[in-house]
Amino acid sequence: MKKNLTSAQWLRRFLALALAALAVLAAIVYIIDPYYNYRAYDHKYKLDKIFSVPGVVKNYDYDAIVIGSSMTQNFDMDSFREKLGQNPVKATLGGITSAEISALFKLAQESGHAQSYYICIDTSVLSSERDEQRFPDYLMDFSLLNDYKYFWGYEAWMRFIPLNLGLLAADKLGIRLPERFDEARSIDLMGNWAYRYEFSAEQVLEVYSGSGNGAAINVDMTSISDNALANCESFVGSLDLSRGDIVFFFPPYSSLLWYKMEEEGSFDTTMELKRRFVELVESYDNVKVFDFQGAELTADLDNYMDLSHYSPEVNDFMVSCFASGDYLADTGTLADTERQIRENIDILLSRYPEIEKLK
Amino acid sequence: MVFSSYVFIFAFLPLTLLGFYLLPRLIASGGKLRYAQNLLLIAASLVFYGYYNVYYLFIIIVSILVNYTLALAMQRCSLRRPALEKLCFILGIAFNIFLIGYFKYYDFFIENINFVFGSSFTLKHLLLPLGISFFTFQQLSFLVSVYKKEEEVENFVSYCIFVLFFPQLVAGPIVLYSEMIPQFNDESRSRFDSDNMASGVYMFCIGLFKKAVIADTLALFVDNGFAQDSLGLAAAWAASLSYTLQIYFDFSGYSDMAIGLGRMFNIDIPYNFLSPYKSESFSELWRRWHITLGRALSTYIYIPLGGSRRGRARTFFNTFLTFLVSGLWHGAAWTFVLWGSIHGLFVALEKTFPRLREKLPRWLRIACTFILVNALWVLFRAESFSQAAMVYRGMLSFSSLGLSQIASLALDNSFDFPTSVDIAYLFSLLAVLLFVVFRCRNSRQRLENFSCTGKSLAFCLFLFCFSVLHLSRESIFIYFNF
Repeated sequence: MKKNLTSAQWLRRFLALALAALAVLAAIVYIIDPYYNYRAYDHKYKLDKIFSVPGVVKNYDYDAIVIGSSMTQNFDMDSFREKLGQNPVKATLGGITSAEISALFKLAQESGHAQSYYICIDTSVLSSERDEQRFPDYLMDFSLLNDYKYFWGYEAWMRFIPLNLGLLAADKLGIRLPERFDEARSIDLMGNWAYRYEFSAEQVLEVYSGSGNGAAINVDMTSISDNALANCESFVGSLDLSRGDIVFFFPPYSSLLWYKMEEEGSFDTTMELKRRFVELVESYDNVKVFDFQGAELTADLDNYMDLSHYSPEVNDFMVSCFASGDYLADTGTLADTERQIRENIDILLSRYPEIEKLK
Repeated sequence: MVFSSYVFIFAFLPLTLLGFYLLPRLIASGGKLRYAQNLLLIAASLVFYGYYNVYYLFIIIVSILVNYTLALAMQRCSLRRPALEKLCFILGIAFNIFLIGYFKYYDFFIENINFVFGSSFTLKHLLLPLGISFFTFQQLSFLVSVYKKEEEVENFVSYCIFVLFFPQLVAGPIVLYSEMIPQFNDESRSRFDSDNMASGVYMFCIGLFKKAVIADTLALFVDNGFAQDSLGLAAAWAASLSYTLQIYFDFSGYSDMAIGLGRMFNIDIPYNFLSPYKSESFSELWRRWHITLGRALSTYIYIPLGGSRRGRARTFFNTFLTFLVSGLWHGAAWTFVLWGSIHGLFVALEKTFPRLREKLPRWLRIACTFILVNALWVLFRAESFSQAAMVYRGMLSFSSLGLSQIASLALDNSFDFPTSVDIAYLFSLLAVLLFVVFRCRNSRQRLENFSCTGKSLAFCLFLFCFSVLHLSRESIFIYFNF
């Protein structure tokens, strides 16, 4: 091959062109912004449970934010608008950990959008050893310095940009895509999974018996870590509870889950953890706690698709309670709730006698 | 630190190069300049090695201090006190075997004791220091060379740079003192050489692409494939071929980067790969795959055992034993021992009956070797015999093609593509890579034919930029675990 450059020229050109190419690539990502890291729009790009949530929290227009696990992913945002007069957004992740709640809460506070925070406290958040943080660090702040992982990131370039440009092109060309493509771009529907599952007692009992069709969302809710109490205290300590109207809520798992906890010996420890959590947060005037775990609906398995995951109607019921103040809790009400949970277990067992045979 | 990371490419490497080539402007030519450059490389290498875990530094520094002291003592006693020299040599061998034995083989040993005697000794689950097999082996070979009067111990800085030089510290190539130290002492190599730098950048980019783009893409198919409970024919072959290609592109990519980095510092590092899958036999494969390990095993195990000088039966045994050690060197598990033993068996059989395979046409010899090597990589990758058996069952399950299972191999949790797209993607990728492996020029040929043209510039730019776009899924090299 003919040598038409000196090695010094070749090196200088390589350096200059490589830097220029990397700058152009970074500019393209900044302009397209597939993760909404700099600006967020509804119905524009496909939303991703890991990569899109931080950008939405930072840049979407909202005044109330719902943070939590799959227990919160079916909340109807219109329900918040109608019943609470708020402009909400969901920041959710299946099997969310205490570290992830803490990080999202901090990000939301730093973004300055939210007046109200609705934070779902799963028992697994308080009791589990898991402390992973799955959101990429470079998306969880407002600094540009670490965004090189975004500008030149594999996920952005090899996954999200091609797909989103394809979706935008389809829109421009008037190509009608299946409905799920549009739903995947709706910030209101971000994370929603209800449409994929059946809610019925039959389905729940199948899951419980182990002969289910595998449709259950598999989260270990009954194991208690040895360090649970310290984890719980450390989690609360990581939250700045001095700002905003903060609502913590314990979601209404089915009575079957509580029955299982009793059988496996984790019921009392879970109650202790709840008590400790409430003790730690109730001293703040701007903090409210709702405890739905003694609600009557928990004994009706037609509201569930497995032992813990409930239907969107239950989410609506919770929003109504946020508005009315029903199921507000403090350390004084926890004993009543515990008694109610036990009564609901009795109702459950009389309503579904086959449960005891399925042990 | 890994080569294929943002921090290495955009911070560590430019800063080290800058410091290295600024020194000639600060220090006048002479021994001091080279000494200062070596010191800088040692400091940079310690940062490189301790980046993820400072605890590793303690181990490697102790290893260097003990080995250097013993080598020096051996050299000083060699004439007047041969008994002491021998004692130091034995101590050195024992120390290195203890070091690697403790960190790498302790749990393996205890597991087997527990299994055989029904005991319940506790496992330590020690964190394996990066590249311990490489730097221990390299230092062992140095002790042997000093004992045999083939090498002379120079100053401590020279010894440190021999062990620590970051391009080949963690996963080789396994270098000899005699081929490296003259280069580190050579003052003519202290100044910026644009020819070396250009060819070094070119080689580094080839290796970076092999690792960051190809090997890490294949890793997804492999990890998903080996995690299944059962595999159909298509998925099992796809998973095994993916691993065969992954380990080649991963390790040869690393070696290419090491060679490229060496060139950037005007240091020639020996080649480690030479299109191994084009081999017509297992013997040839091991002359083309991890060449420097083969060289070391041959020098320190095969030849001292008698090599091929003591008759057919002894040659067979020596070959088999050398490969068995090679298997154990790669990992503390019976799967590795079996993998090494079978390789040894094939090589020994080829040496014993050299005419047998000559009856086959060349293409068939290459195909047979490749298929057998591919099958053996399953053992190497599997975490247990039962996992390997699962993949083998799939590879032989001719009754169920199981094409739809391909989707589970390509699953990456971000998008859910239709199965047909996954099948087309995976098989077309494997086909392209097999074509590259069998038909294209290898890195060494590319480097030897490298010239500074617009075409090579465009090629290198493409490799670099495309690789950078894959760095966010940073992963360590497979051979870092050995």
